[in-house]
Amino acid sequence: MDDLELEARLRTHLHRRFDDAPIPSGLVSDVEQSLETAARPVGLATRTGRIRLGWAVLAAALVIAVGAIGLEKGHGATSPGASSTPSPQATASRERDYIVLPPTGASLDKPSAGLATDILGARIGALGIGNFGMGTGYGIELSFESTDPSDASVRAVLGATGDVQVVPLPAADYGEGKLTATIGAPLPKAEPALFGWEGIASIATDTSGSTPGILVTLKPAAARAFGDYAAAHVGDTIAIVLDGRVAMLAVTSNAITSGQIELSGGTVDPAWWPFTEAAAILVGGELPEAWRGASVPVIVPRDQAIAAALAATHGGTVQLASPTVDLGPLAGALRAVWYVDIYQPVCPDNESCISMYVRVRVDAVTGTVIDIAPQGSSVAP
Amino acid sequence: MSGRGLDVAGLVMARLADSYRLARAILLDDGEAEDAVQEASLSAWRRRDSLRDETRFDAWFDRILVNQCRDQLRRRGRAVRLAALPIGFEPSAAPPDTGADPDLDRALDALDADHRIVVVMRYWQDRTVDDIADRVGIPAGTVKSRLHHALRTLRATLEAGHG
Repeated sequence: MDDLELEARLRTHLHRRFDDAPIPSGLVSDVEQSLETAARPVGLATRTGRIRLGWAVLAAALVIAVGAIGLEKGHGATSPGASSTPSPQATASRERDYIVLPPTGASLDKPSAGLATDILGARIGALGIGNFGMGTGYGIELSFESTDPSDASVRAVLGATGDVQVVPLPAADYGEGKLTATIGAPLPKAEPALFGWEGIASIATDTSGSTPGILVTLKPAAARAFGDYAAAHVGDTIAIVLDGRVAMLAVTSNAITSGQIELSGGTVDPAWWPFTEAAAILVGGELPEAWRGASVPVIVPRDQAIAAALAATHGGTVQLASPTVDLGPLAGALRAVWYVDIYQPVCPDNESCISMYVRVRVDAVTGTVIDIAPQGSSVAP
Repeated sequence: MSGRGLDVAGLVMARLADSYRLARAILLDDGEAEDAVQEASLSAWRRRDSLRDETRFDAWFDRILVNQCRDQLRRRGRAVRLAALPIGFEPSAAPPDTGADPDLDRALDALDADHRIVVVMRYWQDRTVDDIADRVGIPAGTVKSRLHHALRTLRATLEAGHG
């Protein structure tokens, strides 16, 4: 092929491919908004800027959350090691609350609970929730105020074990008239994995593009294995299998020798795990052994728990409402409960009042009151 | 008249479609093209004082946009990308339609940022060497050498893949 032929081929291809590209519907408004914001010298205008700001906010929020947890220790929580009790003003907020229960019979220890909390916190941050509070006791509690993402997404990300396998799909077995790998389903037959977490040095959120992405950095041995495979199988499909089900499918576009793999959005079926969920699980990492098989029950909302507590105490002032995990009536059994602390002023004379302080425990799954326990009293002028 | 007297925002908006298509042709990625246009638009606004003549706006803005695309391509170069599959893709399904000449697509994708930019401007936008030099901010001789090198690389890639 001489230069003229190649030039003609280039012109034909480029015109066919790029002449009539439709403009994304949001681009005009995005740019207009950016320019308007730029005209007002306040704030960050670009999408990238907002993402970077989000991470900065997340870092600040984590610091604040850690500080708040430290302050709240000894504030009346009764479960051993419990470290999270929301502030009084939280009871009037639109907080969304979640409880992660470790598997029944698991041998729990504080280091693994702390590690699980770190992992789940990283997942939630990667999910785009910048400001949240977490506590660890018998279980892990999470609270935040964002309206997104959906409850189902949050619970899926919290409950996933995070076991990952990078599995090449042999072209001889997968393709037209052969086996099919389906996102959200297990592979149709067992395939040897190139590596799992043992081959992965780190996975980080990649915000350099407009679509959500992750950057997987491999350890040297896995990088070599992956490079060798990719060099010999350009165009073949690789499955990222998460907790035994296909989470992402990608094709190798060229030989990969750098030990870094970039995966961006659009690789998964939104009917199953949106990319952000799978990415969040991968960024956070795999739960420690004692927490594999953890569950995230659907719990009654804060307002419902408070209403049940107030009905049981015939009124009072709600001071605290805290989702937590405590020991149930059966030995070793854990349960999700709401602790609702209520003050009830009693004024025997006109001189002073006594504030009676009770804690109502509400079953977080059924919404029924378990018991009411006096916590003490104080004399108020 | 300096850019502060010109309606730079209006000029940016008026050629948004052309800008997006150029960014898309260089970056070969819809989302990144959106980002590039948005960043370039902001950059143009901030640097509006350097635009003296409205008739120079297209070339002035192209230079900003091309620089933005080059920066993004270089950032992308730190990692090897796995080609993302479209939503719902399954290995048994037909491969995604990325154009009529997938071999050429792959060869273009393998070009580095500087060479891909001149190829796109020359063979898609049908610009002259001098016009490209003006819009990219390099001497005409450099444009010629980059085009020569790009064609040689494309041919080698295509022949290696029997394309």
